[in-house]
Amino acid sequence: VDIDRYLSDGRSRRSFFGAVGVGVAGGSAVFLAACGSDDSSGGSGSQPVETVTDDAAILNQALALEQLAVAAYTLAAPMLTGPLGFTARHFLDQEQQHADGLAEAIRRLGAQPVRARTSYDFPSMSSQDDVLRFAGDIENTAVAAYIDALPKLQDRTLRATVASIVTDEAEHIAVLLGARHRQQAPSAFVSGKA
Amino acid sequence: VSHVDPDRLIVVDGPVDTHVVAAYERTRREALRRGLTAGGAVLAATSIPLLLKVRNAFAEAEGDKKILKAAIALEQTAAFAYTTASESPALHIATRRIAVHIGDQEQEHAAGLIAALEPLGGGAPEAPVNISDVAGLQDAADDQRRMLGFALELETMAVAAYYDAHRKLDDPELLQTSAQIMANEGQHLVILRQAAGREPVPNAFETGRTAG
Repeated sequence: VDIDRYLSDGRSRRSFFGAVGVGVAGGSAVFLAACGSDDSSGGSGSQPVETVTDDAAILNQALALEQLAVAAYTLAAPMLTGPLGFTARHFLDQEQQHADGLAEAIRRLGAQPVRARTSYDFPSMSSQDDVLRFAGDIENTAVAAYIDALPKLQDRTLRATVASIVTDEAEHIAVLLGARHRQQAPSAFVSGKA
Repeated sequence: VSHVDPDRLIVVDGPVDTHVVAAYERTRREALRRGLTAGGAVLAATSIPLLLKVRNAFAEAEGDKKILKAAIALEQTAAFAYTTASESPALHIATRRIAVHIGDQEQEHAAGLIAALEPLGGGAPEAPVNISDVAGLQDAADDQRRMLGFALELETMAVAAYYDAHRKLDDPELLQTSAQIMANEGQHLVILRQAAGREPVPNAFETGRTAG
């Protein structure tokens, strides 16, 4: 699927994010219980996250999305030149830090972190702008899913940690928008609903 | 001119109460000790009490209603500061444009938070009216570099305040609204850091414990 069709076709995005346990509808996103690992050992059942009260299950869904972001920036970095390539590698490192932090939190809760998928069905991209739009879509989806999940977390410290990740993803969005000469903070309330 | 910390905090306009500087420095030194600071800020001495107030307002608040009031006061102060900056002939036109945009968004935050406070039966705090109501603003607004430093510190403190609030807020919608605002403050930091020639996203976890 090319990037234009992916971004305009709800079914393509639902299929793409559904593979890592994220449900998207319209501009919103929600973590689903089906995790993104090829190995189902870290899975948490078939219920949507609204009915899951276990923090570890929510964090595992977030981890699957961070693993997707790591894979996306790994793909994107070589496709971007100059400062944009550096930026992509920097964001890749930060997404990996999120993933590592979430995995550590999951272990502290006595659960097993999901393993990253071995492959992702990325849309085809042929220009820097394509890559920037795709990265922006992943970041916005992450923000929306995290904000949906935030009040479902029982641990208050985890809520603060998730808010710090949301803010970092929002900062990535601002940089990506700036690289496309767009308004960097287009909305006073960052919902991830691009 | 006094240099409280030559690498980080530069007080440029004379003396300020020693205990106030000491309290502010405790916050800064905590961040330094944790290796989280990146880049110093140039501050007017008179702005230190304001930033302390911003940082501590949320820390001392308990319960959704008090946290909301602290957040409204912060947003109203920020909106006023950016409006003042947007009208300052001493600032570059690009900086004034940034101030208009960010100021509008801070005002939107304040309005949204006031709407959330009303069902809880609380009245909104009074917004600043005069430039003298916001400590250090006059000095900052008269100088491009100081204004950027002032705004960076204000936004960083705001992020820290919302970060702390996530441990305390009970209402699910308020939690989400707080996260949406905190994320927007993070985007303001990106704009201001880039304007100041700094790394736009220095931390994977944006907690506001960092300068820059």
